[in-house]
Amino acid sequence: MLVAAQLSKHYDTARGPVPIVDDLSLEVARGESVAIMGPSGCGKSTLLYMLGALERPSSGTVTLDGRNPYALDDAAQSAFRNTHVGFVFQDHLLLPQLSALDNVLVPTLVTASPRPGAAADRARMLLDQMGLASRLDHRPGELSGGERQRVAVARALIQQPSLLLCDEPTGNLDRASADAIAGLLVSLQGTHDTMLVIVTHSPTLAARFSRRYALTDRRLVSA
Amino acid sequence: MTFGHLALRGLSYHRRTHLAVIFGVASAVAVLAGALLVGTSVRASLSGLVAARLGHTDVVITAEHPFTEALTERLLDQPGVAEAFRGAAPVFALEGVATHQPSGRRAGNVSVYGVDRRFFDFHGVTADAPTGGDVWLSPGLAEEFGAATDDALVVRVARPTDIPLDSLHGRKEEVGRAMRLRVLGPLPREAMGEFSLSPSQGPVRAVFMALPRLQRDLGQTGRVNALLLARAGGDVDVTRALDASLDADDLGLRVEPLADGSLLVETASGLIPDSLAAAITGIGLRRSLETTEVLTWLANRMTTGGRSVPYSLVAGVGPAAVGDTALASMLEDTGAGDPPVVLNDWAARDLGVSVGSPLELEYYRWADAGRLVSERAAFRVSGIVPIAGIAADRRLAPAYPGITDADSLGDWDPPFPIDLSLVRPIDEDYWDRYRATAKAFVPIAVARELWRTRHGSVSSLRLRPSSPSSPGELATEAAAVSQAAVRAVGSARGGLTVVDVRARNLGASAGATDFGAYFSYFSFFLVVSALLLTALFFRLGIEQRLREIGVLRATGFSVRAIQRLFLLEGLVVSVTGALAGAGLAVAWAALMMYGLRTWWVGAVGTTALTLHVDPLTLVIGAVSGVAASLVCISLTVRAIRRQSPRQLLTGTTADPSSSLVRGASRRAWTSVATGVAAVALTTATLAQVVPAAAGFFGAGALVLVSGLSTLAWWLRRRDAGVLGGSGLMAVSRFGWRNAGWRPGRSLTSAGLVAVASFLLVSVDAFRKDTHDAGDPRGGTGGFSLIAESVLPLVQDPADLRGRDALGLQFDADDPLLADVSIIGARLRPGDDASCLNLYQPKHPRVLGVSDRLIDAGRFRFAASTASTDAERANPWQLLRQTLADGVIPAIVDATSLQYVLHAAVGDEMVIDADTGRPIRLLVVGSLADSVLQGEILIAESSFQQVFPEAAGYRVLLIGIPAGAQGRLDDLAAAIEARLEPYGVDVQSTMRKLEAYHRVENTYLSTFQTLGGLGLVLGTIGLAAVTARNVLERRRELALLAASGYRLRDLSTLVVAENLALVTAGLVVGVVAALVSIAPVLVERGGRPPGLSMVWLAAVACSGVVAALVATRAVRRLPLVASLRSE
Repeated sequence: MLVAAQLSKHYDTARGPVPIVDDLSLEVARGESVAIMGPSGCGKSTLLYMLGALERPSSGTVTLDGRNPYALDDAAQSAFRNTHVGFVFQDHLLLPQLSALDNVLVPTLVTASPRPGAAADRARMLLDQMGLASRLDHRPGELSGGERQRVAVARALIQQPSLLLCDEPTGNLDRASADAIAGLLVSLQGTHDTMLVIVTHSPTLAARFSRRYALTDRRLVSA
Repeated sequence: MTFGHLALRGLSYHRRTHLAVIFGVASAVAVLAGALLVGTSVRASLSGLVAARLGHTDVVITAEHPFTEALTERLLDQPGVAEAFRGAAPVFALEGVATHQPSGRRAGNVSVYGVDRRFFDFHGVTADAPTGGDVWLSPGLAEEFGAATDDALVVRVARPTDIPLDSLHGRKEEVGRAMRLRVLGPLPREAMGEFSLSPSQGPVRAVFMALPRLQRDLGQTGRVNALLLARAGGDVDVTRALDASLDADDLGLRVEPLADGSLLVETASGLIPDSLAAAITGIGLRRSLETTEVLTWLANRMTTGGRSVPYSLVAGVGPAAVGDTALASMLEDTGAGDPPVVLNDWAARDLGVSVGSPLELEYYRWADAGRLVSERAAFRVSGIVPIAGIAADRRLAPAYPGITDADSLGDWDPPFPIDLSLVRPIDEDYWDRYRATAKAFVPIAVARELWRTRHGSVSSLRLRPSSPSSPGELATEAAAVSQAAVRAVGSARGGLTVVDVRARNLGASAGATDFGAYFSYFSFFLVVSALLLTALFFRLGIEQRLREIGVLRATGFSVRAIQRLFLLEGLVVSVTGALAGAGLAVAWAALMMYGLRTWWVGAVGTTALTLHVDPLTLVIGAVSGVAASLVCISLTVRAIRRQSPRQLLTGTTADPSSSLVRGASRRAWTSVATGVAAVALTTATLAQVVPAAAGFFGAGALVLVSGLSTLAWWLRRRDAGVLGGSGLMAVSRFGWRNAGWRPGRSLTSAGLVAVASFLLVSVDAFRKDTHDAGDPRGGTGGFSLIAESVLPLVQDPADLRGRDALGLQFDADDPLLADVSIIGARLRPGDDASCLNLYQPKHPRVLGVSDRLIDAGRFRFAASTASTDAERANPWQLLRQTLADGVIPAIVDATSLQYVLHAAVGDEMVIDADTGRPIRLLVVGSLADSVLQGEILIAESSFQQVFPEAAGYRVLLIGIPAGAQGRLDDLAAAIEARLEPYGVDVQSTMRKLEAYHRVENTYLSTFQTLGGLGLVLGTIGLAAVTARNVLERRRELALLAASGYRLRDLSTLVVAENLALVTAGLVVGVVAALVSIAPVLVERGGRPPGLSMVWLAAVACSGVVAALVATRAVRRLPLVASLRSE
């Protein structure tokens, strides 16, 4: 269960604090998917990063399955993120020097593996599910935009996170690819029983998720 | 807004990046201009030293034999001379050895000057001229001795002699003269205490004693051997003026009218050089004077039929026989049997011979090899003459001190052994009545054949007018002949040399070593690093501005216009950097000069080098730096052409992964091919098909190329396997994989480290060690000691009798010196031709090596012109070649030949070019790393031809039996003690070789130090590249952070990548270097090069520093912000 309570975030600037999110609360249960919409610059990504233990809120709390990642030290917080949270970004952020398979395996390198080869097997399985079984050895430069994003999704799922956070995952894709990714996310969320939070300014994409909110005036409003 | 404004705004907005570029340019200019300033400073320091030590001396006239002091006035009286020169000072300048009595310290090669008031007035300094037995010391010598006022100082100098030492009548036991003097104190530098006519950067060892005292002790009253001249500005041919002012006395020539109506021509040496004899004969011919050549010799014994006459003078007379036709006809050689001899009736009576009787003459001769030999010659008595006329002429014999001036035969004191027990009363009676009147006469041709010496083959000439002359007419004729003879001889043949010593020494101060060039070479890495840094910073600046370039392209700017814009910015930045660099260059050069005076003093041997800032040098350095920087910048700017506007607008360069496939197989093949070539070259070198040094160095270079190609292939490989595992090793492996992200940058970083490591380590191959002195084929030639004397050893020290005469008995009775071998060499003193001398040797030391040394075939040759098997087996034999046009074959140490004399084997060199007697040499061979680096080596026979005035041996090469190295110091002390009268200095050949090695090794250390500093500068570049990589990959790193990577993991990732590149570079560089120095490593018993290890550690530290910088960059990254698309 993801619980965000009374989250506020502001940035300090030379001209005083700039509020981004104010007194915002959200709960997401296992198996639920949430889409958050809003115009550019409204704070969607900031909210997502706060939920994903990447950006400490100015006030309020975030708990995932009862644990507050911001109460952890840096190492524990990183480990928490590694095992509990998966990110997918608008820009796939794949490492160009690595193959698709290696890119998916990157998160596994900093956690102990239950058995040698288990991570690689799971990565192959994920890429297979993504329809990339024949592209395992291909590098990002040799993949299409949609394929790259699918690799990014596989990477986000490699550690079987309980929370999958997607930041404009189809923002850089053409319509067909965007549809395919959206379908994939919905399908995988069901398959992997994860909580899915996606931020987008695309109503079409948002429509595919069970709960939809708009971030307006720094607060979430049901859409 | 104009184009210029745009550039100006760019400069202003990106000032931080430009500051980094300015730093790079300033570094390059500082190092480059600094290196050139070092050269300028060394040259200026050496010139300053020359000028200070010469004082007002511009021209010096030196003489092999002292000339009259009055020559000074006669010279100044010549037309134009008084106007051209504002002063002249006659001095006696000799080489000597000084012993400080209170401390017992001894110094060889001391310049001993006999000076008076005129010397100090000439230089315009106020100092008391020494008088009586007082002596001033140069500051350096005073310090060396720790001398105080009133200390006793014994100075021993070579005694100038009229009669050549290495002739029968030369007094070999009196080659030197010792004088006990009283020290006045050090003569200050400003009072000409460092006066020196020879350019040398070391401290001056000189004593200044009273001229009259020196003249008196040398028996040369009224004579000097050097005349100093100070120019006033006018121009005059000094040699011509000197020739015009010489008189016969200056040349030791005497023309005397005799009572018999003839003219007697003699020289003070007792022998007339052949060229002079020919000139005088010519004069006689022109003046209708009949010439008779005379060569009188001492016969130890004239023997026939069991009867003999001891110690008789025998005169060889020319066909004219001074007008005595009877004697002339008797001496006509019919060619039948033994040559004719005419006896006076006293001798004929004593020997009981008649015409036709055989007669044997036994006589001494001084062999050129340096020993007295007794020889015999058979004659046939062809006539007997009364003791009258020419047969009664005592002047047929020249004046021989100890013989002709003796009152009786019993008082004879010749410089060779005589047996007075052979002298009979009738012999004393003859001496009483006839003194040195010859008892026998032989044809001049026969006399020449028997008694010719290299100093001449005529003891006197008799010129007889065709008709009788009155005494007045004869005196006039004598004066005319004398003057004509002096003009014919001239100063050059008379042994006087005019040297423009200021021009010569200032020319020499251009230096044997161009320190500007050397420091430029040494700073090569530093300059390249600085330029790479410049290019790198500029490139990083451009990469930051890709979107800006894209916008300019989108708005219609052509590539050329954008390049111009950036070049304009680059020019401004470069000029700014150059201006800053010019200032830094002065500081850098000051630091280098400080280094030469301290850390690297071993290379220069002096602390008298100071910084001289030459604006032109700074300008040259700055312009060169700007030009080099602009080249780097323009190459960087050219890269813009390769980017599409769309790529530029997205702010990215070409996808680095696109180069992954390209060239991978080519690199793999390059790697394999160069690896195979390295193995092949190593095999060929081991099989001695290729010279060891070149072969191994080449193999090392190939290994370097192969290693870097392998690295390039590895960075671009695709089949690296699947990432796996977890923890530190897994993250590290991930980091190593990341090195392939920008393979070009990674290879540049690793390549820089590899090349630097390779050069820094492989340069050790040239570092010289001093090996076993006992190896005849080594640098010492198997000689353990080398000695040099101030005074010549006239006897051959290699000859048993010579050793006895010198007090160096090497027999069983003298166990200390038993089995010690000595080979002597003749020496023409001069400028040190080794790397110890910073000045160009214009007048180099020349050694005349004996046949013993030539036949011994010692030392190792670096190169030679040998064409036959025998010559190849022993290239020393090449010295015996007879070359056309009087060219003399010479051998020189390879290092001196290349770096000091700047010549090669097969080249012709001219030494003493600025004297009246230039000597042409052909370099026929070069010795490899030998102890004989300070001199040019020619055969003894050639030496005696070109330096007839240099008597005896002055350099001794001393070999000791194997296992006697432990008593080397005792032996050296014993030899010094026994040859003390000759002022001998003995030193270990190993130590001498080490001194040469120290210079060369110091240069290598300098190269390594400056190269290492270049590497440090390169580290800044490496750190910048790393930081840039981190910056460019911040989103990637942010993603990893989002995926749960801790900061520590991210740091590990970056450090692992960085260290992998440094380690790869180090491994490739060191392996390549070890291959290149394999022979040296084996020679050193596997001992690794010391200083290189330090630098390798520095390289490793550089990598760590770069990694730390990168880690710091990681820690400062705004990771969350980086995750956002923009």
